[in-house]
This record gives sequence, C-alpha cells and structure tokens, in this order.
Amino acid sequence: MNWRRSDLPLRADPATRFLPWILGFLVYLSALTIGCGLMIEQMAERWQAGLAGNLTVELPIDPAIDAKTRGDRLNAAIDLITATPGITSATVLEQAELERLLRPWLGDNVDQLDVALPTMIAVTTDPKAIIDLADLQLRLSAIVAGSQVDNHGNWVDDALHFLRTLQALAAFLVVLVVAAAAATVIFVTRTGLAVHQPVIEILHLVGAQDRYIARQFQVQSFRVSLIGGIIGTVLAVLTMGGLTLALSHQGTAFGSGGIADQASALPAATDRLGRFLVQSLSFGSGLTPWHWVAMAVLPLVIACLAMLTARWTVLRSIHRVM
Amino acid sequence: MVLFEDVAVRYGTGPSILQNISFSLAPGSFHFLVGASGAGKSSLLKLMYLAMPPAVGLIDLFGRNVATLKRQELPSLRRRIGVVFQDFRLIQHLSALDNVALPLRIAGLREAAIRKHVTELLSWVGLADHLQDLPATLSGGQQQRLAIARAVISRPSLLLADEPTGNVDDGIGLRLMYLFEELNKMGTTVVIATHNDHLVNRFNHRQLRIEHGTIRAFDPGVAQRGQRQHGNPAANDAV
Repeated sequence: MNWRRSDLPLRADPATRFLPWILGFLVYLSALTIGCGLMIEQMAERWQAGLAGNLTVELPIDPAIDAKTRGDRLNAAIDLITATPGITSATVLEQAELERLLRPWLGDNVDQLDVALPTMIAVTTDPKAIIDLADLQLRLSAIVAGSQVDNHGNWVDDALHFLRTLQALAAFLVVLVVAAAAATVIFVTRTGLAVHQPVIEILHLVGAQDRYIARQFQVQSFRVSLIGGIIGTVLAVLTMGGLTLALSHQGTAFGSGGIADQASALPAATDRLGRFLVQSLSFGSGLTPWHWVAMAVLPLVIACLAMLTARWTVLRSIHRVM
Repeated sequence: MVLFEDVAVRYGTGPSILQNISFSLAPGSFHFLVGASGAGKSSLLKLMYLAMPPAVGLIDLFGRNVATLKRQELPSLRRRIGVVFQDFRLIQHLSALDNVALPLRIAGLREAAIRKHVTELLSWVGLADHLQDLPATLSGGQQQRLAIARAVISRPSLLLADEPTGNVDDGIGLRLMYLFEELNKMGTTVVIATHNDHLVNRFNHRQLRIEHGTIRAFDPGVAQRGQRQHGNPAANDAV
C-alpha cells in the first residue's frame, strides 16, 4: 500500500485539521509535566547526595558557666567529634557568621538580642561511613549538657516525601493528558467513519477489508499526531529553557542577603549545602542528556499511540457503519 | 456459480418486493435481468453482490452459503464480483485513473502494473484523455464508462451491471456490450439488468424476467426453436 495515498478524503476533514493543534497542546502539557517530573527526580537525588556527609552539632550555651570553662568544653567536644571514626572535619561557626545567617529571621539587631545563641559546629563525614549518632550525642551531652546532633534526616525525609508526592501528581497528570489525547483521536476517527460512510461502503463493495480502511485512518492519525507532537514538544522545551533563563537571572539579581549571596558567604564546610540548594531551584540544569532524548522521542510515542488508537477505533466501530 | 433458492427480499417491515426467487447461473453464462422499472432488478443485484442479506431463502455464491459467511470472509468474495452501479458510485475526490485502479490496489498489485492496466482499459473505453480528471468534471456517459472500467479491471468471475448503457449512445453502448461479451468468453459470468429491449433482442442471451415479484427464466434460443417446432412462443418456464 502506498502510505502517502488515501482513498478516503481524511485530510479535508475539519476535525482532522484541528487535530494537530489539539494534540500539540496536549503534548505540550505532557512534555512540561514530564520535564518537571524528571527535574524533581534529579532534585531529590541531589538533595540526598548533597546532605549526605553533613552533620550539624548544636552545643547550648550555659550563661552560668565562665568563658574559660565553655572554651575547654568546646575543645573537648571538637576533639571527641574529630576522633569519631567516619568524621572527616569539624568547623565551628563563628559568631559573626551565625548572626548573619540568622539576620533574615531575627532582624538586623540580632547581635543586640539578649539571646544566648548556641555554638554550631558543621561536621563533614565520609558518606560511606556509618556513625552511631545517638552514641555521639550521648557522649557530647556528657561534655556539654543538652548537645544535639542533627543529620537533617527528618528534613530530608519530609522534603523527599513532598517531592515524591509532586512526582506522583505529575505522573497522574500525564496519564490524564494521554487519556484526553486518546479520547480526541477516538472522537475524530468515529466522526470520520460516519462522515465518509458512503465512500467506505464503496470500498467494501469493491472488496476492501476492514483493516484496509483502518490503515488509512492509522496513517492519517500518525501523521497529524506527529506534527502536533513535534510542535508541542518544541514549545515545551522552549518554555523550560525560558524559565531556566528567567530563574538564573533572578538568582544573580538577589544581591546582598540573597540566596546566592548567602550561599557564597557560607564557610567551606557548608558551602556545598548552599550551592546545591541554589542549583536545585533552576530548571533545565536538572535534566540529563538521556532525559532530553526521552523528550525528543515523545512526539513519536504520541504518534504511535494515536495510530494504534485510530486502528482500534475503526476495527471496533466499522461494523456499525457497514 | 450463483444459486438462489426460495429467496425473498423485504425492506424493513414492509411487504416482500421479491418472493420465491429461485434460479441458478452457471459459470461463464450470460444473462439479461429484465423487468419493469421498480420490479426489483436492483434489489436482486444487491443480493448478488452481498450488499444486503435476503429476508428468507438460500443464496449460494461461488459454492459458499452467504448466510454462514463471517464478516472477514466477505471481502474475498466481493473481489471476485465486479459491479456497475446504476448511480455509478464513483469516488468523487479520486481521479478517473484512481477510481478504476481501486480494485487492483485493494488486491495489492504493484503500482507500475496497475497504471499500465488501467491506462490501457481507459483508453479502450475512450477515456484516455481524462486520466486525471475528477468524476464531477465528466459527462454522464463518461462516468458510466468509468464505472464499467472499474468493474471489469480485475477480470471478475461474476460481473453485475445495473443499466450499464443507460447514459451512452448506441455506438458506445454496443462497444460496451462487446466488452462484456469478451469478458464472458474469457469465463466471466455476466448479468446485465436493463430495460433496453433493443439491446436484449440484439444479443441472444438468457433472460431472467422479474414479473409480479417473481422471476422466470427465458432462453431466446429455446423459444425460437419452440416456435419453429410448435409455434408456441412461451416455451420457457421458471427454473
């Protein structure tokens, strides 16, 4: 069969003329949703990897204890921490740095507040090491009562749960959009069967099988879906690229006190934490080359789905026409 | 080739248009289906080209009982039948060449062979200069020749023609009848529904007469011999 030739005038159908645009819009939505889902996946992996190997130790300040004793206890705590297998470094946050981090929440006069800020120690660990955090906290509490060791696990779990929920929602949206696309193809195909019933009858009387007629609807659906899919995917990629550009400009425009500035002001031990948070907020940078390949294949997938839907619709419905 | 036994035709819940229709068509035979306008000639042809089932009775086509045919078996039988419709039923958005090529394309022939056969046949029926023309731009007679070409292009085993010479002049009409006779000589069973008595009388073929909803077979050759022998013109009866 010549795939370019059709015995049915499907290209002239008004419904067929609108189909590429409708499918293009649906593919645009799918591509954006899939792109967001993939980025969320990348973000989740980066968060997990980025926070792996980081601990924060909080040593409360007891105003009743003199400064020398406090210093001795701090040194003992640092010695204990660095002596723990699996811990690679421990850095005490300077008071000025602490105040600067707290300034967005406590205001510019944070240094004049009558609040005893705890001593914060940023600890880096070997990501493969297994450290008994409860034991470390217990031993630290023996030196400085009320010490806390935080591996940000609860925060990470909550954040990951949130991201997975977003991913599930994205997947659900994609399923809905694909179902809408299939329903559109079914409607257009059934309309075509009804509109071209006289020609279909002639084809049958001349000896055409149902699959001969189905093939013509298949080819037409594949063609218009591919066109719409390419348009939708290109627009989705341009949209994501535009958002990437907009967000990256917004990041550099924060200036003093902005996220980027704060990230760059953090000491080396927590610099990694700051930088990957900033990166995570940028679209596009989270997609791997394979993800872009998947996006490029999306129009073909949609076209194949439309083709199979059209074939199924014709073979199911044609006996009502003839 | 074709066998009808006690077949009746009815549209909806109305009265039977045809009843007790029984006849057989031998392979390679040639028949005129005659009757007044509205007698049921087209309905009988519809039964033969499987466009509708009978209300009652048995129709055996190419050795197959049509009542037992599955839907997917119909196309293979229809490909053995060439039909010239009274209203032509040409596909208006296809060119003359594509209309005639349709049965060959459905059968899966190669495009080069299709173009060769179709061009030859269209030349034979006088449409060589209209290969790419749409049916709407052709005259009634040209459309009729086009419809005939489509029906005969695949050399069907059974050719059914409903008033095939109704829109052409006598010259073209005779030429078309010679085409039908050539096909018949090559083995095609031919049934032509017509009320053109001149045509029927000129070509001495068996007649199936529809009168009062029933059918009678009439063989002019037998009738003439009967007349010579007994002087009785009504020497035939229904099979």
